Amino acid sequence: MKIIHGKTVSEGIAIGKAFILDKKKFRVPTHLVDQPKDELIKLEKSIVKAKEEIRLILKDIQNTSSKEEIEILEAHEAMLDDPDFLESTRLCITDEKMNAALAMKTSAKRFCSLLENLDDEYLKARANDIQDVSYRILKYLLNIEFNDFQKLTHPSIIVSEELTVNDISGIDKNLILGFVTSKSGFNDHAAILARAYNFPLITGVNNILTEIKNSCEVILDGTSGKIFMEPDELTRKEKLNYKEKYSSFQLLANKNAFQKAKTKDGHAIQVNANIEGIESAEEAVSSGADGVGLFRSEFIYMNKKILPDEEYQFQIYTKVAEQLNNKEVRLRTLDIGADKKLEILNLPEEENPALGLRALRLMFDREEELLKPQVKAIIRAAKDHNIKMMLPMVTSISEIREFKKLVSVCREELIKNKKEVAKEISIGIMVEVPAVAVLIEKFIEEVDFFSIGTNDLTQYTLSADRTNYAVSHFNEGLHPAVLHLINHVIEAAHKKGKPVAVCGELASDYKVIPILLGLGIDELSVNPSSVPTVKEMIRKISFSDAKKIARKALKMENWDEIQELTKGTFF
Amino acid sequence: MTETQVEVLDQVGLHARTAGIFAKKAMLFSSKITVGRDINVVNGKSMLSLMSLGIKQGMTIHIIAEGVDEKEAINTLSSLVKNNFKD
Repeated sequence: MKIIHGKTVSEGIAIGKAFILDKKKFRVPTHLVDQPKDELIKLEKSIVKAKEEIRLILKDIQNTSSKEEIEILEAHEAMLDDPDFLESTRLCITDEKMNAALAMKTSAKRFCSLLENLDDEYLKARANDIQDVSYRILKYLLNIEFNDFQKLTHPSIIVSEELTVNDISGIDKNLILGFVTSKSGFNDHAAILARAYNFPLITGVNNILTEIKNSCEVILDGTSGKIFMEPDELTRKEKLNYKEKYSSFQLLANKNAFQKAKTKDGHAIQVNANIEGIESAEEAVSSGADGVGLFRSEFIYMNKKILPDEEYQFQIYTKVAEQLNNKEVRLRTLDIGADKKLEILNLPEEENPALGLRALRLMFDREEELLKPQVKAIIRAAKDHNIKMMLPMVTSISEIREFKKLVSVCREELIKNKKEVAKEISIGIMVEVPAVAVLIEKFIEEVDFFSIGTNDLTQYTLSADRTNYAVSHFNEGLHPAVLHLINHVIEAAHKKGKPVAVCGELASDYKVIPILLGLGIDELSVNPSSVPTVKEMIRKISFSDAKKIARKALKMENWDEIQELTKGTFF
Repeated sequence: MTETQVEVLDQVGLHARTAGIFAKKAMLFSSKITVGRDINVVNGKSMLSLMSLGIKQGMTIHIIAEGVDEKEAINTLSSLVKNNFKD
């Protein structure tokens, strides 16, 4: 048995034989031509054939395929009609005397690099779509069969350096169990499709075609990102068992999504959603979330040419609260800085932005421009809605006192202008800076609730930049130091009857949930799509068992030891 | 020549789907149609060129039409953008 480590792009587990998709078998000739006319005719004919092919696939899959797949293929069809793309290809032939295939390849490359240079992950990923379209045409120009999917006769795990929409669309879905690739971005259309069809996809495997042999037995484990080759009988049985449990768990989770989350022995946990605006508020509601634990308000500032004013913000906050139908909404004030930039603010470059003028610090620095309009919009929206305020990147108690003073100033100004405002507003803080966790007792009197942002708390505790790939292993999982800080916060807050939530990645990590429960966490706030599964996990354990696990975890030295403790708790 | 400026309201901006809808509409007119953002100006009938502008929600684009049906083209295209690319 051999184990390969990769990165999960689409969750799930698959067991089956590997099918190697070697697409590097063709070469585009590089010669130039004297007769551009012949090449132009060849090109036109191939385009017609490629269009015909897409139309046939579309007709074929109209009723059986996902909305995503149909939309993507329609976009491909449109690219084949794109006047600039076609013109640029023709010019390669007429002006640069390229053969048709070379012209196609060159022109596709030029358009790809246009998109790849954009500062937008989604559009960058569209370069792959241009590749897909050009391959479809090249196939006819060079008279070759790219993928030997004809040879695929049994349901298999598809192994390929790259995965394209053409690959997925070309195959009968009943013959796919999962995918392994060298490089797939989370936003690739192929990745989006894999998720839409619930196929596991593991990526980041180097030398994939030499690592994995055709027809050998493979297990893809999306939960750990591991690939097991020629697994021994024990692993095979374990994973098979796990696969069954995993799928029935998912089914059950979705069925119970709107039920409250209580442990076996009746301890209730609030499961909230993290949202970014009106659209994700809708998702939160349909996922069965008990409320919004984190409304990342900076997202309504992003990509704007002018700063959103008080009135605009008031309307958005009101709309979100209305969608939540009186369930609690914890609105986090602007958290800009570090990896979240805002062009309109024209902030100076900093050496260490994660340790710089960000979030609340920046709000104080730009009181009139940022702090006041947002605070005013929030206290107006909170008049008739269940909205609470949450402050990011708090470091000292004086900041909270200063902030509260400014809230009073805003309230007076609004009243003077005959605007209706909430008489009281609950104010909580994010626990992200270790200083706050250590001195938590001092904060309790000033604060109504705490929400632990584990992503930042981890990077600051371990001095490991979460955006730096070279130190990413430090930011993996729950480090004992972070665990102790969380424990300290919960103990201190509970003494004074104040609730504590976790709203970072760890809140939806099945290896960590039993420990957080055992420490006595009151709320977990996760992405809307994770709400049903997190709730179901809570139902699967008892509070008394969770406490035992947490006590053991507090004695551990590293994350590896900690995750051993919760292994097999759920599936 | 007729021109107008319009803000893109769609959540994802001018991406594959929305650019495709725009280009398809633009092709219905015989006028030459160009779309610009800042100093970049591209053919409004080309989905890929429109995508290469990298237009995000909240950005303003400049639409210019030149030809016999330029007025109608500008009306149709600007209301398309204003209506979030819904016909």
